[in-house]
Amino acid sequence: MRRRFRLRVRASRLATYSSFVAETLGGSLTVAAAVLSALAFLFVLFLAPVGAPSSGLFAVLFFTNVGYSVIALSGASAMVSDLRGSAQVFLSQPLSRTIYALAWLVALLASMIAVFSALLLSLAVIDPGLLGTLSLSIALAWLLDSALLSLLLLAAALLLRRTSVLVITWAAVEFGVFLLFFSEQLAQAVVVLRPLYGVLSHGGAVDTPVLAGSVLLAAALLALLYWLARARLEV
Amino acid sequence: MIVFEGVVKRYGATEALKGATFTVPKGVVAGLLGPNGAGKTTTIKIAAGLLRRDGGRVSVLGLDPWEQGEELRERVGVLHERPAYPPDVPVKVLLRHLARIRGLGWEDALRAARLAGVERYLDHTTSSLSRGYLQRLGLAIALLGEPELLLLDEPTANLDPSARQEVLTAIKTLGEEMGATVVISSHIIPEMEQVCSYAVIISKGVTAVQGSLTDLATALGAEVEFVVQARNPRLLASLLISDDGVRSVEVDGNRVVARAGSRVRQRVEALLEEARARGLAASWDVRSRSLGEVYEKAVQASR
Repeated sequence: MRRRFRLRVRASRLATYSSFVAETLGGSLTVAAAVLSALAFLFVLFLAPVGAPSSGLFAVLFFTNVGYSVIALSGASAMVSDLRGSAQVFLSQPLSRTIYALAWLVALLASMIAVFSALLLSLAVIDPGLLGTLSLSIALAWLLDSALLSLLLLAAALLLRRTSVLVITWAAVEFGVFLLFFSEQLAQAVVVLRPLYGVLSHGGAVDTPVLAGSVLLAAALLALLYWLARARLEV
Repeated sequence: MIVFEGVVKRYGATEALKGATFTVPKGVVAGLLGPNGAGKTTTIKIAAGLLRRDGGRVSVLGLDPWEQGEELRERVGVLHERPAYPPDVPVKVLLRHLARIRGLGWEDALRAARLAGVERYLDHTTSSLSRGYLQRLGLAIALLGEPELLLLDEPTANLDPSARQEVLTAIKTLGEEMGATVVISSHIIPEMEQVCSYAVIISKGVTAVQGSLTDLATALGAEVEFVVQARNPRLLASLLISDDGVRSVEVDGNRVVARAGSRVRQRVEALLEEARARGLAASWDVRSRSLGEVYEKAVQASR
């Protein structure tokens, strides 16, 4: 009974703090997500033809993915600033270190879902038939790709607390992977971190083992984030 | 209430606490005193569960602050030395969110704002507040939910003299009316003398001395005050001043205040017993107003 009560209290604190992060600390996240959603609509309008999966549709997917990666970078940078400043005010409240870190993750993932939902809505508004061209594996690849980057950036923010490290990590994930595609073996490994690139190499579909590998990697990064918050988050 | 046993904290190669050992009993207003760099802020942060100790044992309200921090901070309010608030956030938005984290409503937040004197600035953003009002905002945040224990790190820093006095009076009132235990870290001894009944003096990361101000004054040979409720103040004053060990005597209505070195404390108490037997005195209390002297002696002894 008491355990259930504490769980409910913790869930309420997570919701309260993540809404504060989204509203105020990461206010730019909301604005950026809205702008990106509007741009996604225009891109869908101009690039995605009616009918079968096309390079135009993939271009829209990649554009929104890169756009969200910028949002994730700005969110993780806001967390670094917070860790150097107002985090001690919040962590002096009955807010555990793990809930603090998870609240930032929740705020980022909420932006991610908002961007992806806007993309789906754009497809549905322009031509409902376009939704059929977006397979479940592609949708999952987009979501996993973005979630993995969010987890990686937040873990780097907690571990090193430097914006410059975040920018390097972001650039390495966004652009460094292209270099690795020169090697077939490395490319297979990298695609687990960037499952959306599987769309390129497999012509519009992503292998289930790749998605499973990405899910496992996301779970590992989530565990790392949890451990970093629990064991190393001092303010 | 607070127990530190051999607590060690390192920042890289620097050892901020080198085995600090002290206790703070329930219900006191305790001063955590020491020169700059003594380890006061580190001690406050370890007690609040914001820093992890590298060695030793810490118990606050019977809980381990690092492992059970969330549960502990439901009962503790913390004011930081230089609190940083999210910029451009209205005071009321910040207070409302912090109150919600504690499971409190807007009324509770408003009450804390009133107690700390920031209720007129609720619509202002944090970045538009002066240092003094930021400090008051910190105090309001610490008071949310009327905690059992208040950890205040340099609460009067950045305040003008009148605001300092107001904050000190508020702390004293809170200690008395809320029954809260208050730990105040500071190196401003005259201010601490006004509010503290207990002191922990830290020097170079170790505890130099700890105890009630009267016990410390006695142990270190500092001056103590005898506050006597007299039946015949004039006669009692002349009896006390005739003793060589009594340094001064003041009469204020029926109250007689005599100051003497703690080494003659027993002799003066014997004199007061005799006065009571003769019907000159009703009761008395011994207290110390010589924290500065205690502090100097403790810090010098630890060097």
